[in-house]
Amino acid sequence: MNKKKSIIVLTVVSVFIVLMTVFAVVEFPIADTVYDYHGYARTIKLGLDMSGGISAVFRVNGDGIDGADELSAAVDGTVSSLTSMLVGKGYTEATVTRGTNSNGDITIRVEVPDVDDPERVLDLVGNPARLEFRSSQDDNAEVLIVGRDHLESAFVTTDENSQYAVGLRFNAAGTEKFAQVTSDYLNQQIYIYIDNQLYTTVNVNSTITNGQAIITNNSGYTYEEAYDFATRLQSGTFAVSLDVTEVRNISPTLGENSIFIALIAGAIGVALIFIFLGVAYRGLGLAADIALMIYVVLLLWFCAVLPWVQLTLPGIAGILLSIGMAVDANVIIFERIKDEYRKTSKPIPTAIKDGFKRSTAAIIDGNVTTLIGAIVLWILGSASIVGFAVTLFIGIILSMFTSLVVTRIVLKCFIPHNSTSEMFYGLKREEVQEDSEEVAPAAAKEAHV
Amino acid sequence: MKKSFSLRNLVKNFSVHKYARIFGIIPVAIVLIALVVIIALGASGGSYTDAIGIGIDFEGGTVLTVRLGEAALKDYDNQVREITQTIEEQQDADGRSVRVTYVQRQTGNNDNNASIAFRYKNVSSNDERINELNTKIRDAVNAMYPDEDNVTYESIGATAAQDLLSKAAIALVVSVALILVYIIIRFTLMSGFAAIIALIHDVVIMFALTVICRVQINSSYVAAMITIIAYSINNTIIIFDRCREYLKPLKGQKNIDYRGIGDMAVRETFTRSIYTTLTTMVTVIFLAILGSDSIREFCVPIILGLVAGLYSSVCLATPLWSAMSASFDRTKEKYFKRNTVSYDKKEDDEEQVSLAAGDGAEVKAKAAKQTDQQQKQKANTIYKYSKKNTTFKKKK
Repeated sequence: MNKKKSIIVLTVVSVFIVLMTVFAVVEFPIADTVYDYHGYARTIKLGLDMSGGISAVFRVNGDGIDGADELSAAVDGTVSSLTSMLVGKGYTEATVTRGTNSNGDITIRVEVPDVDDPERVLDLVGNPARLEFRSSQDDNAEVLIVGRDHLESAFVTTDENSQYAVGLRFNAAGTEKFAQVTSDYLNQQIYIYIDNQLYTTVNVNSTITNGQAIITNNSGYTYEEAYDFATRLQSGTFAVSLDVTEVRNISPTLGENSIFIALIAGAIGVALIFIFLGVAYRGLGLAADIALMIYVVLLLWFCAVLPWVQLTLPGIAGILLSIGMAVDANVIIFERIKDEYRKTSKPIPTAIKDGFKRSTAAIIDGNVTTLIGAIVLWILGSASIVGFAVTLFIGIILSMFTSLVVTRIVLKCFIPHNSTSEMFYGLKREEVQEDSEEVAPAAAKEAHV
Repeated sequence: MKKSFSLRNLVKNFSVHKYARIFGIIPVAIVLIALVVIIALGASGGSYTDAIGIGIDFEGGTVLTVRLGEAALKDYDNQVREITQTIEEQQDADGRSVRVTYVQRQTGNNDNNASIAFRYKNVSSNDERINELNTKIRDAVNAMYPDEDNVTYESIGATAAQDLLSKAAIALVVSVALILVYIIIRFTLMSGFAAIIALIHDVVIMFALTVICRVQINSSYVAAMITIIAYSINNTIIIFDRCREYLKPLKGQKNIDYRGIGDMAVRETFTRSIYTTLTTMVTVIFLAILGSDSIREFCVPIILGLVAGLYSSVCLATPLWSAMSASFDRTKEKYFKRNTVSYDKKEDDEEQVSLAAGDGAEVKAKAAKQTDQQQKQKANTIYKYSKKNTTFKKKK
């Protein structure tokens, strides 16, 4: 690489860093639209512990359930159905806890991070829809299918005219019952009731054995309507009814300023690392600092755009660890370069090249083992661990990329300017000594101390 | 001349194998202390989960909500401090008191409803006792605000997903197995086992230190532990990479000086091991200093774990690797060539004893060289290993 080219590359790299940093934080209206641009670092989704959210307390309405044990089992069932419903809707960090209030009532407390309007979902949970399929409109009509007993889940889907509809999936008992009903009432009408009100009438055209059905209405749903209806139907399958007693905003569990503190600590830590690398490895450290800056902005950007990332304290741990590993990779390379230069008579560019070559295996092996862990956790871990695994995964990939590629490119750009400067690169040759003499000078130095 | 402990000299002449026994004793001592702490506290308090320090996330506890109106918004920090103090001052019949884990501000549509919620783990498993203490706390906090009756409490269950621990455990076992396979493929069989033993050490020691330091174990602890595992395995790999490199030219040789190679790998990666641990720790330390109590509860285990990870990679993994590799080679040799009597077990024992006994007197001498010399005296067949030799081979 010649001087001119290296200056161009370095300029491109620094412009990239500056632009990425600016776009991380700025906010401005986008011309000719109603939208504003929000710095991508601000759009990173934060978990309950970092930014707080909404807490709702539901009082359990145990009507129709006899016996404390049955009620308790029903509440536990509801807690797990509610959890899986919230996770299914993307609130992966939601916590659902069973409790007892001062009056002795059983309560269910739901806490959801403040993303995607959780209040609406919690309102819908407190307003369940009880689904029934009936044989006729008479008061003494036979109830064929009951949501609470037979429905497994309800979701938004589209019908054959690509209009929004609510899909129903029955559980094992429900599938059997539904197949029987659709064969018994083949070419007849059945009536769908929601909360004892006739909702719609269906002509049974064929026997359905796969346990799936969709509900539409004549005018078609908007997406919002379908979503709300599906959520209410899903809530109607819970073993107990829930009455909302309070909905509140809650501050982060880690304390009021936790995100600010995390940022400050991160900034101080990274700044100290930058200074440290510059002091310990001089020109090499400078290259690593540039690579680490790219690492930091790319990491923030990935955290902002990837949908699985919801930053919680464990997620921060993943980031800290991957920053540590990014620095580590650079340190390994530089120690190698120092070794190469010290022990041989290679010129600086060759020492740098060999240093990279001989440390690559170590860095890849070290990172791959961690990567294996991250992938396994991503696949097998529960929701809150997944956030950690994802940030760790992104961090490791980026750390390998920046240390093995970016640092190398930046160093290649440095070389044409000062390829012989031991001072700039902080490299030193070893004075040639016999093994037996090595102990003596060291001991002599000690005497002075 | 007196013993010298300057870092440079220490690193230059450092032999992990020389102190391997001491290094082995320290973790055992830490685990024993932790066991004593658990048994002592468990026996006196009656609850072993308390003794270990399992927190509110796994065990559940009480939410005490204090409705303060605007005071909760404007005078938040003071109110939190005063109420926390009042809560923690109350004692039940056995003289035990709770410790507040999380404090949150709750706001509704109306400022008058703003309140502060305190979460703490119950100190007893007896419902009556819990109620008794909660009522006492409620009355005490109520007494601070004589005008209104605005304190309520509610018992809550575990907030951590029930499958958090079991899923994390399964994931850990699977990933450890996969990592083991990877290391065995990329390194050697014995490297794999040594690395995994070091990893298990980290988990155990980190847990033991957490117990000794009385840090509560909540759901973020799981993430902290996984962080440490990932970090420590990386540390170990870097050292083993050096060993692998020095072993390359010696492939197929007999009586390889694993100890010398291990010592050299440790020495040459020592700067890097220290730098890496420090650069990772610096951010965590600042987080611990600046953050709230619950952030600290997360950071302290990580700091302890980083130290344990550094310790195990440098002081344990390498001696384990060299001992295991050497005995593996011997077993293999014995298996293939039953007729050759190339080593004598008794002699080997003697060597170890003399090394252990000679700790003080022989500090000044270079340990690796010493080992080389001792072995040279014993058997001429031993391949003498030195820096010069490798560089020669590498140049070729």
